[in-house]
This record gives sequence, C-alpha cells and structure tokens, in this order.
Amino acid sequence: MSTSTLTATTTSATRQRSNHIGWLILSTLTMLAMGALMGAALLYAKPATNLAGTEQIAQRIFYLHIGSVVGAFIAFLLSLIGSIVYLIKRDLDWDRVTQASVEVGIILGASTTLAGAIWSKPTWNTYWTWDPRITTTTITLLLYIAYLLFRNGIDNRQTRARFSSIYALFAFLSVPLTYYSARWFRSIHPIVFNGANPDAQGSFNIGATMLQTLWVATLAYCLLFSTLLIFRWRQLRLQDRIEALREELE
Amino acid sequence: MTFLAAAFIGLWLLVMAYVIYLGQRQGQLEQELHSLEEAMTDRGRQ
Amino acid sequence: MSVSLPPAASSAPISSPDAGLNPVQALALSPVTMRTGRSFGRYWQHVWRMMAKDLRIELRAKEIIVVMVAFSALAVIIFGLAFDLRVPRPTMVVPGVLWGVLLFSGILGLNRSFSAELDHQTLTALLLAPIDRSVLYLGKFLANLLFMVIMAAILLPMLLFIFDVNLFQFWILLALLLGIIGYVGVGTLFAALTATIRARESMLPILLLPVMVPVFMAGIKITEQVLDGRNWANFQNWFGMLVAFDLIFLTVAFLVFDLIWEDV
Repeated sequence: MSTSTLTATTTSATRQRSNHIGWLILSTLTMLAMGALMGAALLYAKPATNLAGTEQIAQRIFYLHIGSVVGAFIAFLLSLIGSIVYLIKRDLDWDRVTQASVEVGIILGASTTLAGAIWSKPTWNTYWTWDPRITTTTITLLLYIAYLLFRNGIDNRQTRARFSSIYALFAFLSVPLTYYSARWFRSIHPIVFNGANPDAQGSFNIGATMLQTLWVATLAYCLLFSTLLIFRWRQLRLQDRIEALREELE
Repeated sequence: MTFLAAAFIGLWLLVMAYVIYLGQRQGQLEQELHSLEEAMTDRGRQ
Repeated sequence: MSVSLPPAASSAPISSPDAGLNPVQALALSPVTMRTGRSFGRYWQHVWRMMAKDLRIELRAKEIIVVMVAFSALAVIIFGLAFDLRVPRPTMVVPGVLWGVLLFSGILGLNRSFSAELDHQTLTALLLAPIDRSVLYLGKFLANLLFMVIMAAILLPMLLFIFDVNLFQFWILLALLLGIIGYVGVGTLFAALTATIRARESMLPILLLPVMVPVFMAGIKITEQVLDGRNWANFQNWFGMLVAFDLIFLTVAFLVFDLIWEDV
C-alpha cells in the first residue's frame, strides 16, 4: 500500500491504468445489476398472493429494503475491520477504508430506513414502527453520523485516524446489543429465541420469483457498495496526498 | 402506487446525491492537484 | 522477589553486571518487577489516590455535582409540568423521565472530568507520572461513578415529590447502579476522546447517547416492570443485557484507553 507522501513509492502509471479500467468494469457491472434489479422488482417478481391493492403494490419496496440493509451491514462490518487493522498496523490506508465504508454504509442505511418507513404506511398505516430492525438501523445511522462528525473535529491526521477507529469499535459493538434490546423492548412476554417475529415482515408468502429477485437485490447492492467504496477510498488517498504535497510546499 | 414510486425515487435520489458529491469532490481535488503541481514546477525552476 | 541460581550454571566469575551472563543469571540479579509498580496492591493504591484527587477537587470547587443536581432538578420540574394534566398515571412516564434525565445530566459531569484537566494544564503532569495510564482511567471512572450515584440519590426523592412515585425498590436501584456503571465506563473514555478536539462539549453527547441505547432501554423496561409489580422472570434478561453491556464495554474501554495518549 502506498503511503501518503510523494517521496515514498506511488503506484506506477500502468498499475493506475489497470486499476482505473478495473473500476470502470465494476461500475458498469453495477449499473447493469441495478437495472436488472429494477426490472425484477417492478416486473418480474410476481405480486404477493395474500395481499391486495396498495399494500400489494407497495410490497415491491421490500426488495430494495433488503438489498440496502445487506449493503449497509457489509459496510459497517468492513468499518470494524478497518478500525481494528488500523489500530494494529497504523497504515492510514485502512483508516481510509473505514471512513469510506462508513459513508457508504450511511447512504445505504438511510435507504433502508426510508424504504422501510414508506413501506410501513400502506402496510401498517403508520410511517414509524418501533420494529427492532428499523430501530436498530436508525440508531446505527446516528452512531455512524456521529463518527463522521467526530472525524471532522480533529485536525491531526494520525490522531483523527486513531480516535475515530476507537469510536468505530465501540459503535459496532453496541449494534448487536441495541438489536436485542429493541427486540425485547416491544414484546410482552420475555425471551423470544426462535425465529423472527412474524409481524415484522408484513406477513406475505415468499414465492420463487420473489426469492430470485431477492438474490438479484443482494448482488446488485453488494456491487453498488463495492463500486462506491473503491472510488471513495481512492479519492481519500488522493486527498491525503494533496495534503502532504501542500505541507511540503510550505 | 405513489408509495412505490416515492420509495424507488427516494432511494435513487439518495444514492445519486452521494455519487454527485463524489464527482464534485473529485473535480475539486484534481484541480487542487494541478495547481499544486504547477506550484512545484515553478518552485523547481527557481 | 529473586530467583536462586542453580550452583552449576555459572562458570565465569561475575565482575560487572552484564559480563558473560546467561539470561537466567541476568534475571536473578535484577528482580522481576511489573510495570504497575511492584505490586498489585500498589496499582490499586494509585487508582485510589487518583480518585481521591478528583473528589478533593470537587469538594473544594463543587462544580460537577452542583451543576448535575441543578440540571436534573430543573429537568424533573419541566417534565412534571409537561406531563401534568395529560397523563392519567404518573407511573406511565416516570421510567422515561428517570432515565432520560440521568443520561442528559450525566453528560455535564463527564464533560468536566477531562476538560478541567486540560483547562488547568494538569493533564501533562498526569500523563508523565510513573503510573500505568489505565490508573487514570479507573481513577476517573470511580470518581465519576460516585458523582453520578450522588446525583441519582438526589434525583429519586425529587421524582417522588413531583410525580408521587416511589422508586426506592431493590431491582430499580440495582438497575440504576448497573446502568450508571456502564454509562460512566463508556462516558469516561469518550470524555477523554473528546477533551482535546474542537467542539468538545457538544461532541460528547452525540457520541455517547447512541451507544447507551441498550442500557437506556434496559433501565426503562426494568423500572416499568417493577413499578407494575411484576416479578423477576419478566425482566431477568434485561439484567443480563446490563451485565453484558458493562462487562464488554468496560473491558474494551480499559484496554483501549492507553491508545488515546500515544503521542503525548
């Protein structure tokens, strides 16, 4: 991994070009996959058999909802890995991975919450439910927005990386605890170990085309996540290099 | 139907907003890089 | 403590400390000492002194507790007014008011714990002292814990007066203690993280409150169940959550605290 000062080794021109082409291929694949997802979600997937009217049409939001939550989860998991590896190795590249994945994670997490809220209205006649997954996603969003705000307030590059990695560690650790708390919060009877709360899904039967669409959604959002992450990560590298160059000139 | 449209459009807007932000930032950074490179070559010539 | 040499091990006479020594001999000559200052007890002495220092400062300045108590009293009064005629039974809102006020007024105390050191420039001295840096964490943790417990002790009677709800019940008090331990454990670390940055006072609640949600939920549920007269089986898993939170986060905070002061 190249460091952020110009005097150290930088990626050679041929390597840069092949990286660039690689990213272009990835982004094309992403756009194709997202297009396929739109088609699948709106047309290919058969309507839910036990629902009717607005609820049945709105059920199609489900595919985007699931896709974005998978992407968000991978993003935040990667941010945990990035934080831990940075704290061990002190390679700023890993800190950039953390920051980029948190940003993409926030976009995807916000998508999840938005999709969930809009889907709730025709299904349960309310925009907001304290459904454990939506509650956890929202609080997770707040956690990671705080991460970005925190980073913003620290000027020294290494200190920023170190402190925000420490916070990212705590943030990730609190998510499973928040999930279980939220799950128990609304249930009248104590421990519910087996299976998901059936109410949470809006109770519809998942047919074959729906399952296939779900796979397409997962794939498309993973590709989207990768494309955005790699681009942002490289952009952060460029930003750090410019900072170093600026300092050299002064 | 409006809900479906709202959700799909909303999600696309979110992602597009981020993509546009990335694009603008990239433009800014490349501009900065150019001006710094020029400053360096000027420095080198002196 | 020293290790006795096996008589046949050394062949050369020992003239200077390191001349011709094998590792066992070298170890024997300089007794093994822990970085914590020769004994486990000594470590806790340092922690006690650190805590006592903070308590003494607080006794003289009276900044932290007075501010926290004043804020929490005001908050209770405001919530009392807010819910006065709209809520049929005060037991409906008291759990929320209790834990909400606790979370918000705790921030005031936590903010002071490290920013006071920075303002008076005593932080460098603390970091240079020949003690393990985790002593700093534990000392501040215990001091902040005591301040919050005192504040809670004043908050509970206030809630009794304004809302006419008796919170002095064993499980509620236990939940409060566990919750405050978790809160102060994470809060002390986050206070250290935010002490040196630009918008320090406003950053601490933004970082801390989302992480505290499990404790908040657990505390509210336990308080609700106890006020409703339910028994242990109903809220035992919430206590499990509190204990799990405390164990996980205090351990991680303790391990990670050193990293904050690396380049100082």
